[in-house]
Amino acid sequence: MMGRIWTGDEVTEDTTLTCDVCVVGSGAGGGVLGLELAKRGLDVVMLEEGGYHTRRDFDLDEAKAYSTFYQEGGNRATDDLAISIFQGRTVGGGTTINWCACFRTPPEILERWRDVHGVKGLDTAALTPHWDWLEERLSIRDWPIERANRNNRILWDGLGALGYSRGTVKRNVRACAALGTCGVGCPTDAKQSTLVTLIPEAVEQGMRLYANASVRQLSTQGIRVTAVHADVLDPATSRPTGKKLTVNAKVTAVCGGAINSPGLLLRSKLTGRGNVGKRLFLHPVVISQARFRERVEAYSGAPLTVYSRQFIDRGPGKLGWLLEVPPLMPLQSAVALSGFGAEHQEHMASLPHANALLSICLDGVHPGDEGGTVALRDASEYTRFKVRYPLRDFHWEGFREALKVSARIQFAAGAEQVMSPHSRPVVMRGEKDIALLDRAPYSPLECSVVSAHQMGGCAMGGSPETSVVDSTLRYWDLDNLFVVDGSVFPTALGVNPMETILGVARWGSQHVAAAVGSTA
Amino acid sequence: MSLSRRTVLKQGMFASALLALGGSSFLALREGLSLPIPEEGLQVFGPAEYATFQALARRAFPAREGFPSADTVRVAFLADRLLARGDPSIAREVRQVLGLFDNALAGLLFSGHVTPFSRLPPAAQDAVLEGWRSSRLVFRRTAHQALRALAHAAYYSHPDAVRATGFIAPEGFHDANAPVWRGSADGAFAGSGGTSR
Repeated sequence: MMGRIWTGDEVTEDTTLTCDVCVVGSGAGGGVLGLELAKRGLDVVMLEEGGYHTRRDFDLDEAKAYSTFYQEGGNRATDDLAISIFQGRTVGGGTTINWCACFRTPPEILERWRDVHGVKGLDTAALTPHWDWLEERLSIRDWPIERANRNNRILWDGLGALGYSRGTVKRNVRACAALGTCGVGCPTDAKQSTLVTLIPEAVEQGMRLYANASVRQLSTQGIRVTAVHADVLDPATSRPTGKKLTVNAKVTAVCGGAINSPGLLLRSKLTGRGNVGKRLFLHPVVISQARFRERVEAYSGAPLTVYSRQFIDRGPGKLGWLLEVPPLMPLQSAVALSGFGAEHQEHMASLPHANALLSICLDGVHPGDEGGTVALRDASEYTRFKVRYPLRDFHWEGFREALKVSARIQFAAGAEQVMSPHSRPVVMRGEKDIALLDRAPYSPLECSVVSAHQMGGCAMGGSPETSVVDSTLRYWDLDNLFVVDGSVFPTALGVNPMETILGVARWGSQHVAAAVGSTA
Repeated sequence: MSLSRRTVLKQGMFASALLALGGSSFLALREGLSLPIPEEGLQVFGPAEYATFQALARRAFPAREGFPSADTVRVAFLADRLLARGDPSIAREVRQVLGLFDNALAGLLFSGHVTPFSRLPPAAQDAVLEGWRSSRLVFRRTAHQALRALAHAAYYSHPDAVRATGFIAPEGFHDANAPVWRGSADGAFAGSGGTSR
């Protein structure tokens, strides 16, 4: 079988394909799964809603990148716009446009999945050989502090000055020029995304990949999926061309991520006894912006290379967080950072002197924290979902304390000014001003919250009454449907999710292959 | 502050009622600013929405040395093109919000003036914007956020605005003619991953 990558403009008539496994989505989950199945000699068809964009398209133009490589043109958000959601939509999914941070799953999270959610057989020992393989294959290596850019150095220095724990981040790169533009695609192929690693290898093994194929529905009969129905999209406009792609597969694996996967199941009337679309976790993030006298140039150099989990566990009932820094590209900063009018322009004029600190909050691990929901909108709304994520006092308390810690770290590293993410920012000029954060308003849209990590929505668990897939990633009520992506996480992680998704997908590939009848 | 479900529902109904009012009352028919339509035409905005958005952009990007003006960047035109690339439902919602934003009846209800936003003097426009930003009604804050984000995305998509921030994109790394590999018929994959196995 000759593998190949097709784009929407090449599908000029309605087409029906047959195969062993249809993989829907090409990100961290789909990319690994496609390769593992193709290596077993299985006939794999992969469908990706986004376009096939390669380094020739990664010209570092932010406006083009967000509108082309991201979900909803970079405008995905909760229904009330209180949380902006950055998520990839291109061949390679999030791995093509993320900031290259790799963490193995914290053991306590896997233990929680076992003890609280009834997940069986998925522990550190089971995942370790897969992580070992992936780290070798994707060149996942430590980015030493000596190579950190000024933006990350600020976090490192501030943590050190206050005596907080700190570490350096592993990155999936090879011959990285540290351009700082990872979020708009890597123009040198240094980033070892699935786009340039596992997917080409799978295609060389025979996998057929169709980009610009938006899967609209799964047909089912009895306890089996019988067909996957996709609309072919025009690569230039992302609008349907009217052509249909139908895949008849022995087994179907949904790998669309934590919003699109539950969305596809719901469109297919697969509600998982009411569990599909529930327990959506976003790692909600608040951003503390600082200004330094010297140039920081947070848009240059490897973007995310220092972290701290000092505050990840604040005790029962308290939201904890992971600390990292983001790159500060102009357009992204303008939209994500606070202020309006002259005040906002002042921030933008000092962009080369700006540092930002992310507090990435760990959701889903406290009693009563059920996260958000994904539901369908009007049928005419092609790419949008009704995403809700109620922010409660529990969240706001955590955000407020996180912003106070961030400000202390930034001042300890020498910041001359720190600003909160409020729509009218709290401006602090020294330690004594940090108390101002206690009097600021904490409510949706008055304090900005963002998300770049989406998890859950098709939770894995020990019972069909409380989860969507079982401990082999199989949809509880269908024999030949699997979900293989971050949507199966029963909780968030408290670390960047890519390596967990990669590892779970490689571990889960054995179950998908077994469902076809392959024991290789 | 968390809102009760009932409060949210009431606000939602209120917002829906206001949106439905657009263009249906005497006050709603008061005309806002009129601007020449761009030579290239508009794909999403109508003339009134185009002018309202450009009026908002002028307040979002007041004159500042080194930064291009909202008119130089043609913020409303670029926003129109951004919306045209997205899901039509988003464009529809933004148009509704702009209609409400410039609606004299809504202006009377929210800030006590009957002049459409786009015809108010700058200081009054700033006050209106501040009223939407800090409103107790979530839907007004949502509307402010939607318009703000669109304006910022449009403005900072312009090279002169990007340059004004001090950012300089790395040069010499992008190859617009790099070959696109589609399968083994094109030879071995040339990416860094493909050459390392």
